[in-house]
Amino acid sequence: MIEEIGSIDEAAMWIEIPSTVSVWRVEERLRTRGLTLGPQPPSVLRRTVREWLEGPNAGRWVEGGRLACCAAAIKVRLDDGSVVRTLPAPRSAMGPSIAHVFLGSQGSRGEILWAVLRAQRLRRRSVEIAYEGPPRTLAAWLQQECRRIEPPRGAEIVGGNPAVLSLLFSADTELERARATAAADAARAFGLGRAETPGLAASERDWESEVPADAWESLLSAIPAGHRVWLTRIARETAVAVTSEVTGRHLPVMVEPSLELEPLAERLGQALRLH
Amino acid sequence: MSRFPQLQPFGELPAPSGALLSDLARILGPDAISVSPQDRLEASRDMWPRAILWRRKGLYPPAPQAVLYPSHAEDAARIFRWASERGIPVVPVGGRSGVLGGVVALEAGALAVDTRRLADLDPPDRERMEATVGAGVLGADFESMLEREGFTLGHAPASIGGSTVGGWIATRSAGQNSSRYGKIEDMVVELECVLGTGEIVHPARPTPGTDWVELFCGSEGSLGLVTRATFRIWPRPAVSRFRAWRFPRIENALDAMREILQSGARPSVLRLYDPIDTLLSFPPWGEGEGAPRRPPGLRELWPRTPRPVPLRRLWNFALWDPRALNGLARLRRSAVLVLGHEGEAWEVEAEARAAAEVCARSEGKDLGPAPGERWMRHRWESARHFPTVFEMGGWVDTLELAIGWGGVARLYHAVRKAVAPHAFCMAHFSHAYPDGCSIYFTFLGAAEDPDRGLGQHEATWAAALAAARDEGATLSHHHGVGLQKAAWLEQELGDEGMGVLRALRRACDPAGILNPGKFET
Repeated sequence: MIEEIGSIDEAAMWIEIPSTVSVWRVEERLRTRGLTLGPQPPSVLRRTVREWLEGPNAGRWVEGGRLACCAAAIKVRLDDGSVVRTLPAPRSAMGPSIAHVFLGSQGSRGEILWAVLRAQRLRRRSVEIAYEGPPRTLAAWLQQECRRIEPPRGAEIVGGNPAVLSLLFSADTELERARATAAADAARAFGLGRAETPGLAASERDWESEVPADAWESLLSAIPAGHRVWLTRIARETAVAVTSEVTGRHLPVMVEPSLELEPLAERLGQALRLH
Repeated sequence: MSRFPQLQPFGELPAPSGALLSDLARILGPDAISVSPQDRLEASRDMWPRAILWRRKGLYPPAPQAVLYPSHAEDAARIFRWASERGIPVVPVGGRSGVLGGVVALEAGALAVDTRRLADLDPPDRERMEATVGAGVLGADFESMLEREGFTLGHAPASIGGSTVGGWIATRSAGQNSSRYGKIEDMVVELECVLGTGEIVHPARPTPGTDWVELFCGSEGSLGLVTRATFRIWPRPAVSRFRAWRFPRIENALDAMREILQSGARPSVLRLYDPIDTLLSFPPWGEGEGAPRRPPGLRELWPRTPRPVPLRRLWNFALWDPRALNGLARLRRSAVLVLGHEGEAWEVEAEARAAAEVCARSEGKDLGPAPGERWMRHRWESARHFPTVFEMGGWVDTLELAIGWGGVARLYHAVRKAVAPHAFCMAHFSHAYPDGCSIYFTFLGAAEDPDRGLGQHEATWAAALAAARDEGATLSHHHGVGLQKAAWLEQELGDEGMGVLRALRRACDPAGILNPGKFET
């Protein structure tokens, strides 16, 4: 069955969609209007909107350098059949964000039926800058560049010592081009040497791991010489590392869920069932 | 239609029972408890304008039995466990700068938990660029510490001198630089939070699955007490630059704001004044590089001291039926936008140039840097004039809504139209994002007769919120819900959404002791 993608609010850059649509179809539709969901790991694009919003990624994207939720509103069916609908808004202070009861909950608290997703302008041009040096220094450069309001849109690492780190920036506007120039200046200040951008490499990208910023040095150091890892959905605090299954075997999985909130999560599930 | 507290005439407060006090002394120690009438009265109120009007009638919301001062999360945990066993309501209180009655108890018999001894203020973690701070620390003290260390949080609400970090989180506060740095919920890395059960939890980001931080932010002390928070911080900007623009109509300016943000620029200040606010703050005879008037302040609307009685009467007379005053908007349609850029020199220059191009394309006239620089110097003033309005026999209140860009202008006109018969109304647009914007309305009314003033206040809110709901706006952007907006929560969340909120409360606070009556209709 082909699910219809609903309307696009071009002023707010919001798209209304049933949750059974694949994220890739949403992205395709957005691109026809010059919009995008921004950099996302391949696994997200393979999923349905519902799987993305209810899964561990919880509909996350990067906005202003911050990992945020790209759902502006959701409609959820609870166990008793009742339907909860939140209001799309840029921000709200009408109490806690109850959408987050359901986002990332693996469907255990309700089934997300529909969503309004935020989009951003599709960038037409980009610039890539590459530097080589010790993994530790490259990680420090990467971390510094991600602590600006707009982090790089992507990164590619070729393992070794020296390793090569290539950062990808949008280049549609003067501000974005200045941003890339500042990153190159910073690399030189770190004492890194200019390198050729690695270029396209045929590789399966079927291994993914969320990597917090304080583990980027470990990640860069663990990549075997000549192996490639891509970083996407880069925020100040975290990025998603993507590589082949073969390379992934050498890399640590970094983010563990906290168990401290499990009793509260359990009680919340029970309270919702009594709803 | 709102649920308001049981008001009491001013008089002697009933003494709490000896058994209660000895229990509390055992739990916290005698130094962490106050039963003084002054402390109890202070803890019973915030800056809610409606409560100020009640006071004019000699009526007060119920004072707590005692005020408790936990010094760390474990103190709060012991209080909550004890109160849960006995079903005693607990109302968290911080700087009391809220404007919606969030700390006002609905009934007598509650305990107030004052957060001001949760005062950890350690130097920031330079390596991680994060800072951890106690919930009771005043915003201004936190930012001053960061400034000394070469950082900023990027959060500058008008209440910064009197609001606490915990209050910011409780209400999902927004500061004047929100367009660049986000709202407070965007800045939190980790919370320390004591649930109604007495459990101490540490929701943190990023984590796979549920983002619990989003659930505790904005919970107004009804899910738990935030005792400490860790925030992302930024290096203090090397350069900052202002520029102001006058647009022929508000719609031109809104288009420019949207275009600037959607292009990827993040100005630190993006503040548009509606025609009335512009007329009062940036009169045409004051334009130019060197001669801007001061930024909006309610002093502009009110006679200066000494306030002669006839003038005061004249103003109150005019405000009983504010339609004529609201007609001022028809005299002039132009609107002034103040832009601020900060960061490193390269980004400030590139961003300012790009923003200038957008403003010029939207028919903006460049007013130069002076209006913005002056705004920066005087930006805390307008809130300081609110008490003057009350002293003069009037009332003033504010309402912050938010909506996607497609609805901003329509929402502005709809609320102004709805409110025009009830209150003098002006607005600015000061928290903007790539997908939408907040509108901050200021309402002014007469209240020499407090009962009439209360009626006018109620009518103003009802008209404004009904218009906002009909336009599809969220009814709060950064003040929270409190008691003033509680009745409207269901309009926004629906019956099913209220059920989810109740389930969340039951999970965090099964005994229902935390700030009862809030988030209920």
